[in-house]
Amino acid sequence: MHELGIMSRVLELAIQTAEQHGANKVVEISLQVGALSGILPHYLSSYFDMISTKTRAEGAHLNIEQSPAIFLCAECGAQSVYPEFGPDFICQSCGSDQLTLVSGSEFRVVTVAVR
Amino acid sequence: MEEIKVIELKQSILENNDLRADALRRRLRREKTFLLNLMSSPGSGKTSLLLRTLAQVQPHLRCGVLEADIDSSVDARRIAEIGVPSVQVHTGGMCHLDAAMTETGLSGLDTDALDCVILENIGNLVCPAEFDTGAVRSVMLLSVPEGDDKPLKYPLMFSVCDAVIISKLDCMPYFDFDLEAATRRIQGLNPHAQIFPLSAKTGQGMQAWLDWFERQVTAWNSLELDH
Repeated sequence: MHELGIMSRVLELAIQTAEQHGANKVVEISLQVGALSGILPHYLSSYFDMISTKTRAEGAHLNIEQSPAIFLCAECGAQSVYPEFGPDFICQSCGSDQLTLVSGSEFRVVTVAVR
Repeated sequence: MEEIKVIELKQSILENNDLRADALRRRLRREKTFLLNLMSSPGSGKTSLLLRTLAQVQPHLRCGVLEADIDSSVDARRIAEIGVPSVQVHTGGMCHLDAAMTETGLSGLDTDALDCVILENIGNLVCPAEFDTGAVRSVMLLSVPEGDDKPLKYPLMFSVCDAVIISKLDCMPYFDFDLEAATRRIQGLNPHAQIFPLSAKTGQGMQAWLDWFERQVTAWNSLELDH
């Protein structure tokens, strides 16, 4: 459910960007969503359509890029990539559970296209 | 057709909330106003605890309340009845409050003239834990009827709190709540959390909580301002 709150900040940012560039319309918003961000892309789109109605971002295309979770092993230094949130968080090369999340929790607005 | 401009932002939305929360804390520090974020699941006794706490601290602290709810203003009215300024924030279906919404809510209170504001967050053990509201301290309630296994099911909530109140202690005889197990589980997740078992109904255990709360308010409001 918190995709709604997150999307309203994205909308705010997109509209503000359009205004700063003297543009009337927001045409596209590109988002980067980490696999462990706890944000479900499906909800982003439906909430965006709901809240962008009658704003200058109405009808804008959402371009959602999902990025994997990458862990660094403290024991062997290898990086393990988890495209999906699996149940066994162990290093894929040595089996250690001493993993630190390097990336995958991010949620970013990468670009906003305006016209 | 007009030309399309692509603007690179690379802005992290969650980081933006953290920055906004920090800015709000700086403002509250200047104004010498303490903000407490009170979280729990629905029906765990936040409003009852709030009413009892306000009745006790009102004589020496000027308090205000921010009531966040998805809808209705039942809670804000109960607070207003005891003469405490309160603002109802409607999140319109949203499951949590972020720093920007907290700021908007606070604009309805004269924070400069208040020693503390208590924010009663949306009843939910998941989402409110993920968003910094700009509060100085966060406290959560776990009520006896909910069960001692909740720290295992909602670890994030228990790890972001400065204190955990185990509420409805008067219900202990009717439930299989293991206070020792709950304490151990909370401490496992968050060794720094203060734990206050209490009953807002009978008053049992209230004093330790009130003392802690007042100490936090005094400590924050007497911080030296760095210019």
